Amino acid sequence: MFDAQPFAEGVLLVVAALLPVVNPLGAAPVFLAMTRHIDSATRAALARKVALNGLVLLLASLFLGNLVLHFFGVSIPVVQLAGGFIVCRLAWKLLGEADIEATAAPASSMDTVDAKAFYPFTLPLTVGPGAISVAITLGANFPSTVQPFVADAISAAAGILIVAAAIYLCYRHAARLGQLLGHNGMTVMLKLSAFILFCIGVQIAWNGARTLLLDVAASSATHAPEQAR
Amino acid sequence: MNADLRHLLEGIFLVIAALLPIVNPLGAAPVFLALTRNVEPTMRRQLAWDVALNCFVLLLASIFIGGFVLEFFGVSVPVVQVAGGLVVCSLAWSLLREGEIAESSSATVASTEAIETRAFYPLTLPLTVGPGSISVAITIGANHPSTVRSFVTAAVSSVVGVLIVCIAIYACYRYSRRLGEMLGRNGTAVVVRLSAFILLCIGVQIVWNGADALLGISRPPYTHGR
Repeated sequence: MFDAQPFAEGVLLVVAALLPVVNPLGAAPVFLAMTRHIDSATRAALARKVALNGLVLLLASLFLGNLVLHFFGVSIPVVQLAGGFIVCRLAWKLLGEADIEATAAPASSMDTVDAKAFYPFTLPLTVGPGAISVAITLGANFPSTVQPFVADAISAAAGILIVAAAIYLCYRHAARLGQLLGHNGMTVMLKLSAFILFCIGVQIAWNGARTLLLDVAASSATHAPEQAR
Repeated sequence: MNADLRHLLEGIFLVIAALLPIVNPLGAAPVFLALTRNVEPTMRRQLAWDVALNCFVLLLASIFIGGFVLEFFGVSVPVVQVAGGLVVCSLAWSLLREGEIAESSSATVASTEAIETRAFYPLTLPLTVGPGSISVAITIGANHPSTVRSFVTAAVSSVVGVLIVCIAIYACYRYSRRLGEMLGRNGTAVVVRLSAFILLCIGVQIVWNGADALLGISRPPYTHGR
C-alpha cells in the first residue's frame, strides 16, 4: 500500500524545485535588515509567522493555484511578469532605504510588525512570484486519479514542510549573521542583497515576458505560410 | 413565439456567461472592502448600490453604443484592452502602496462627498467593470442581428442579462463586510495584498491580450467599427 521510494522521490522533487527559488539563505540578510529595529524575541516570532505564512501560501498555490488562475483568467507567464514587478518594487525601495535610515528609525511595535508579516515579508520577499509559479506548475502535474493523487499530495506537502522549516531556521538565526558582519558589513550586505533581489525581479519578469513573446512568434510562424499562399 | 422565447433565454445566458466571470464581483469584493474600510456600514451599503447602478449603465452603454464610440474616436478594441489594462495595473499598484501608508498614518474617516466621487472612479470603472468587461460588452453588442424582431430580442436579453450581473455585484459588495468580519484585521490585510497581487496579474493579462491581438500577424488586422 505505502511505497517508500516514490514518496521519497516526490519529496525530493518538491524540495529540489522549490528550495533554490525560495532561497531562504539568500533572503535572510534582507529579512535581518528589514527587522533591524526589532528586538530578537519579536524577530523570532516574526520568523515563525513568516514560515507559517509561506507554508500555507505554497500549499495553497500547489493545490488551488490552477483553480484560482482559471477563476481570474490569468496565465502563469503573466503571474511571473506582474510578480516580477512587485519584487523589483520591494528591491528598489530597499536600495533607497539606507539614506533615510539615519533620520527615521521608528521602533516598530509588535502590532505593525504583525501586519507586515504577510506583506512584504512573506509575499514578495520569501515566497515570491517565482516560487508561486513553480508550486502551481508542480500542482498542475498531479495525476487525476485518486490513489496516485493522494500519494503525490502527501509527498508534496512533506516537501513544502521541509522548505518552510528551512525558512524558519534561516530567518530565526539571521541575527547571528548580523553579529558576524557588524554595522557596516550589514549595510554592504543589504545593498548587495537588494541589488540581487532587483535582478531576480527583472529575471522573473523577463521569464514571463519571454514566454509571452515566444508564443506570439510561434503562432505567427505557423500561420505566416498560410497567409503567403 | 416559442422560438423567440428560446432566443431570449439563450441571449440572457450568453450575456451572463460572457460577463459574469470577467466582472467577477466575488473576486473584487475584498478589494472593494479594502478601499472602503474607513467608511461606515450604511455608507458602504449606499456605495454598493451606486456602484451597481453605475455598472448597469456602463455595461449597457458599452453593449449598445460602445462600437460607435470607438469608431467615433478611431480606437480599436485591442487598444482599449492595452490602455485599460494599464489603468487596472495602476489601481493594483496603488492598492499595494495604500496599505503601507495606512499603517503609518491614522485612518481618516472620509467625508460623504469624497466617497461619492469615488463611486465611479476607481470603484466602478477600473475595479468592477474594467477594460476586460467593456471589451466583452462591446463584442456582444457588435453581434446584433439586423432584422428588427431579432434586434429587439437581443436588446431585451442584453438588458436582462446585465441586470442580473449587476444584482450579483450589489449582493457581493453589500455583504463584503461579513467577509471582513470573518477574516479579522490581519486576515483582511492578507486578503487585500493577495487581491492586489491578483489584480495586478489581471491588469497585465488584459494588457497582454490587447498587445497579443495587436502584434499577432496570424490574425487578420483589426478594422475598427467592425
